[in-house]
Amino acid sequence: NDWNSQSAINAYFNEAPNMAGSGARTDLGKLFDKYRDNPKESPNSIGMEGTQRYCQDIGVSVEDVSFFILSEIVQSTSMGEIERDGFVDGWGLLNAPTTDRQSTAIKVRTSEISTPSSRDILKRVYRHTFKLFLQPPARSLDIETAIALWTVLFSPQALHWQSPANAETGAPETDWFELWTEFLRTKSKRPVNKDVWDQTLVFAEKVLEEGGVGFWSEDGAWPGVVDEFVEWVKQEKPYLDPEKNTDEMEVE
Amino acid sequence: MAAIQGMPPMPNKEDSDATWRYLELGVDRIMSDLKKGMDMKTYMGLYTAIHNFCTAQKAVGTGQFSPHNRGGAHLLGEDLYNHLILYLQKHLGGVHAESKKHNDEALLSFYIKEWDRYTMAASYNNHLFRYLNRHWVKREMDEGKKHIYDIYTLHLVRWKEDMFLATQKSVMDSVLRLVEKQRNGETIEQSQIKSVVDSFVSLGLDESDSTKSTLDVYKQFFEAPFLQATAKYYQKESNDFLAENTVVEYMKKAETRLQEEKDRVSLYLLSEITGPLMRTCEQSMIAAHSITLREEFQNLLDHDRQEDLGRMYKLLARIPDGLDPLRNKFETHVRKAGLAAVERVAADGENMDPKIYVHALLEVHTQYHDLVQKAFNGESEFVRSLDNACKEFVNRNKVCKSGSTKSPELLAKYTDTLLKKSSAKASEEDDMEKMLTQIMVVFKYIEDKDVFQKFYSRMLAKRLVQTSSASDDAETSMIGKLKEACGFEYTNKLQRMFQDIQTSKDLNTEYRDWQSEQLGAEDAKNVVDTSFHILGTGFWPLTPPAHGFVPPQEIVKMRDRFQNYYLHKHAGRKLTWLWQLCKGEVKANFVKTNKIPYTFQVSTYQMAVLLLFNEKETISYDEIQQTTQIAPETLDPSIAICVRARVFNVTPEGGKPESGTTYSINQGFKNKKLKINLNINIKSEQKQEVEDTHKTIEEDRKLLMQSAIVRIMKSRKKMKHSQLVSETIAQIKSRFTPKVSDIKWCIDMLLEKEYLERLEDDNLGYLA
Repeated sequence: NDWNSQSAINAYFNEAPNMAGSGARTDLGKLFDKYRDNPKESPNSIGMEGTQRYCQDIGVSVEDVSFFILSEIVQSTSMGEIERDGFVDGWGLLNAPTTDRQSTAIKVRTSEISTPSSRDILKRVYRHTFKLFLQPPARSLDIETAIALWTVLFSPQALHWQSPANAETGAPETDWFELWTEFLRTKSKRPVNKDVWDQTLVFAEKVLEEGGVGFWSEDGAWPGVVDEFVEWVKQEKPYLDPEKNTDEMEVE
Repeated sequence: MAAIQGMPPMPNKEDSDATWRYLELGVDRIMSDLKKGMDMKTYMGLYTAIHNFCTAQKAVGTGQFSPHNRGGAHLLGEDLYNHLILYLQKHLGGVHAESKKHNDEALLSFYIKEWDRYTMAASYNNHLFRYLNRHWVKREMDEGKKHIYDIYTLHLVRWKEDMFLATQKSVMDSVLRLVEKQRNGETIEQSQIKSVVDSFVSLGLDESDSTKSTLDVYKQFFEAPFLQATAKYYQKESNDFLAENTVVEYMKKAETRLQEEKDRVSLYLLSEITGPLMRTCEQSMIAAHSITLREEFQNLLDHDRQEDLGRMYKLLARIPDGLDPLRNKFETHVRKAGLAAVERVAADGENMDPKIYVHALLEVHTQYHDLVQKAFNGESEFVRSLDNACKEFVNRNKVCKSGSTKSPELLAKYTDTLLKKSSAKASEEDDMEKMLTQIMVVFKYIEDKDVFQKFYSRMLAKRLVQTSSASDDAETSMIGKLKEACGFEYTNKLQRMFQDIQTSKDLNTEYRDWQSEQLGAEDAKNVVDTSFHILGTGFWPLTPPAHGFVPPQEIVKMRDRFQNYYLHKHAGRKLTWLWQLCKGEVKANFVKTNKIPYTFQVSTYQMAVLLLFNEKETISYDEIQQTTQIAPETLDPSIAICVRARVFNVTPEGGKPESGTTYSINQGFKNKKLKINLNINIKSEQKQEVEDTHKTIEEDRKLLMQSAIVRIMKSRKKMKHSQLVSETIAQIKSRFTPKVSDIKWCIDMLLEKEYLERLEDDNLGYLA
C-alpha cells in the first residue's frame, strides 16, 4: 500500500516536470504574499515569523531534516528567510501551488531521503544546508553549528552514518558519526569550510560503502581534517582497523 | 753447402713413388740436418722434381695414392702432399718419443729446441714446395677442400696433432712448476716460458682461413691451466697468510702480490692475459676474503688508519659490489661521530655557544671529508655517504632536540659574530674568506634553510643599522655565497638591504648640504648632528615600535626637518620611525670634576630620559614614564643601566624602577673612560627576538607553501591532488622539508579562499 501511494505521488510530480503554467505561478505568488512579514519594506521576502507560520501550515518541523528539504526546494540562503523567486520557482518546478500539495511533497521527500535511490536529492539538500547556515562574509561554519547540522543529516532520517558488524573483516558495528563528532570536539575544533563540508559527505558515503576506513591513504585528496580523523581512528580505536586486526592475528 | 751422398738420378716425372723417394732424401736433410746445408744443384734438382711431377700429363706406377683425373686440368700433387704428411707423422713420432726422456726445465729446453728446428725446416720446405703450394694446394683450397694447407701450415698442423697434443700436458706442468718457483721467490729462466707461449700461439690456426691465426690453442692449453694454477696458488697462500697475520698485513701482502702478477704479464706472458689474470687473483685474494676484510673496516675507522683504509678501498674497489657494505658502515660511523661530537659540547638551549657548536660540526666533517679524499679517492658514492651522514647529524642531534631549526639559528649566530666588527678576531681577509667558506659547508647540510635566512637577515639588518659590520667586502662575499647556493630569490632582500644603506649615505650628504643652505647662522648653531637610514619596508625584517614614544623636543625638530625634506623629495612616501633602533650621544656637562665633559652613548629612549634632567634635578619614575610614554618593559631596563653606571642616584636607595622611586643626576659621576656606552643590549630583548623569529617562521612557511601551490596551479590550471602535493614538496625542498599534511592544509586553505576548486577524480582546478 505504502509503496503504491508513494510511487503514485512520484509519478504525479514527474508528469509535469518543470513548466508549471502561469496560473500556477500566480497562485504561488499569492500564497507567498500571505506569509510576508513586512509587505511594504520587503515585498519579496518572507521573514522569521512568516516562515514559522508557513512551516506550521505545511507540517515542517524546524528541528528535523524536513526543514532542510524545504529550504533546498525554495533555495533559501538564510535561516528563516524565503525569497519570492526561490519560492515560486521551486514549487513551480514541483508543480505544487497549494500548501496541501507542498505538504505532501515535503512528506514524500522526507520519508524517502534515506533511501539509496534518493541519494541525489540528499546530496543537494546536504550541500544546500551549508549555504543556508553560512553567514557571509564568513567562509566557514563554527564547529558546533556544523556538528548540529551533521546530527540531523547523519541521523537515521537521512544518511545514517553507521556500519554494521562485519564477520569477514572482524570489524565491529561502528557509529562513525559518533566518532566523527568526538574527534571534532576533542581534537580538531577547526571551523568547517565548504570544501570540508562537501568532502565530509563524500567521505561518509565511502566509509559506509567500504564498511571502514581501510580505503584511506595519505596520498588521497581528502582535506586535512579527514586525514587527521583517520589517523586518530587508527591510533585511538585500533579495533576498528581490520588491517591491524589481521596483522595481529598473523603475529600470533 | 754439401751435396747429399747417394742422391739418385732425377726420377721419371710420372712416377710418384719414385719422385717421392727422390724428394724424401732432400726433405729429410732439411728436417734433420739443416745445418749441413744443401748445394744449389741438389736444391734445384728437388725443386725441378716437384715441378716435373706436378706438370706431368699422366702419372704412372702403382703408387699407393692413385692420381685423380681432373678432366682436362692436370694439376697433380696430391701424392706428394700425402707422402709428406706420412713423412712428418713419422718424424714427429720420433721427436715425441725423444721428449719423454726429459722433464721440467730440460723438457722445456728440448721442446723449444725441437720447435725452433722444426719450424725453421718448415719454412725451408715451404720454399721447396713452392710450386705445389702455388698450384695444387691453391687449387684445392679454392675449391673449398677442408684440411688442405700450404706446406708451412701443414707442418704446424702436423706438429699440433703428432707432437703438441701428446706433449703439452707435460710441457705445461713444467711451465707451471717454474712459475710457482718464481712466485715462491726463486729465479727462473723466464725466456723459456716466453718461447713456450709463442709456440702455443703459433699453433692457433684459423680453420676457415689459414692466413689468419687465433688464440684458441693458447687459451685452451696455456691460459686456462695457468689461471687455474694461479687461483689455486693464491687460495692457499691467502688462507695460510691470514691464519697467521693481521688483516692489515694481509692487505699489504695482497697489494704486493697483485702488482707482481701485473708485472709478470710484461715479462713473459701475452698482454691478453692481464684481465683474466687480474680477475683470478682478485677472486682468490679479495673476493674470497671480502667478509674478513670488511670486518676490519670499523676497527680501522675507529683508529683513523687512513693509509690502511685507503688500501682496503683500493682492494675492494677491484671486485664487483665490493664497496657497498663499506659505504653503509662509513655513513653510520660518521653520523655517530657527529652525534658524539655534538654531545660532547652540548649545552642547554640559549647557552649553546654558536662558535663551539659550529666548530664541533665542522671538525667531524673536515676529518671525514679528508678521509674520503685521501683514502677513498674522493669517490662520489663515498662523498654521498658523507653528505647523508652530515645531513643527519647536523639537523638531528642533542642540541636540536627541540627541532631542526636550532642548527640554522646557531649557524646564523656564528656567522654574525664573524661578520661583526669586534674583539680580537682574525681580521685577515683570507681567514675571513676561509671561515665563510666553512660556514657554507655546514649551510649545505642545513635542511631548514629558511630559518637560517630569517636569522641571518635579522642580524644583517642589525649590523647594517648599527654600522657594526666588520667589512663590506666580507658581507658581499657572504651574500654572494648564499646566492650561489640558493639562488637570487633567497638573497634578494639581503641585497636590497645593502643597497638601502648605500643610498642612505648619499641621501645624508645631500641633506646636510641642503640643511646648511637653508639655515641661518643662529639656527645652525642649534643643529643636532644627525644621520638617517631609509629602509624599504618590504625588505627589512624590522617592525615599528610596539609602544608609543614622545621623543625629546631637540630630536623632534631634527626629525621634522628631515621628514619635510624627504617627503618633498619623494612625494607619496611614508616614513615610520623605528625609535627602538635609534641611538645617539649626549654630553654630560653637569659633571664639574672633569674639564672635558663625559660623553654617553645612549639609545634614543635613554636620551629622552636623560634630557628630562635639563629641566629638573629630581624626577619620579611615574613622571619619566608619563612624559616619555616609553613602555615599562623598555623603560625599566634602560633606567637600570643608567643606575648601574651611577649616572643616576636613586631614592630610596636600591629602589626598583616603579612608582615611588625617584631619580636625580649624580653630580659626582666618575669614570676612567671619557666615552661611556650605556646603550647595552638587553638580555630579555634578545631572547624575545629569537622567539619572535621562530614564530614568524611557521607563518612564513605557510605562505611559502601556499604561494608555491598557487604558482604551480597557475601554470597547470588543472592537476591531480597528489601530484600537486609532490610538486610542491619538490619546489620547497631547498628551503625546508615540508610535511605532506602541512601542504594538504594549505590546499584546504586555498580551496576555502577560492583560489582553487575541487574537480572530479581528485583533480584540482585553478580559479583566476
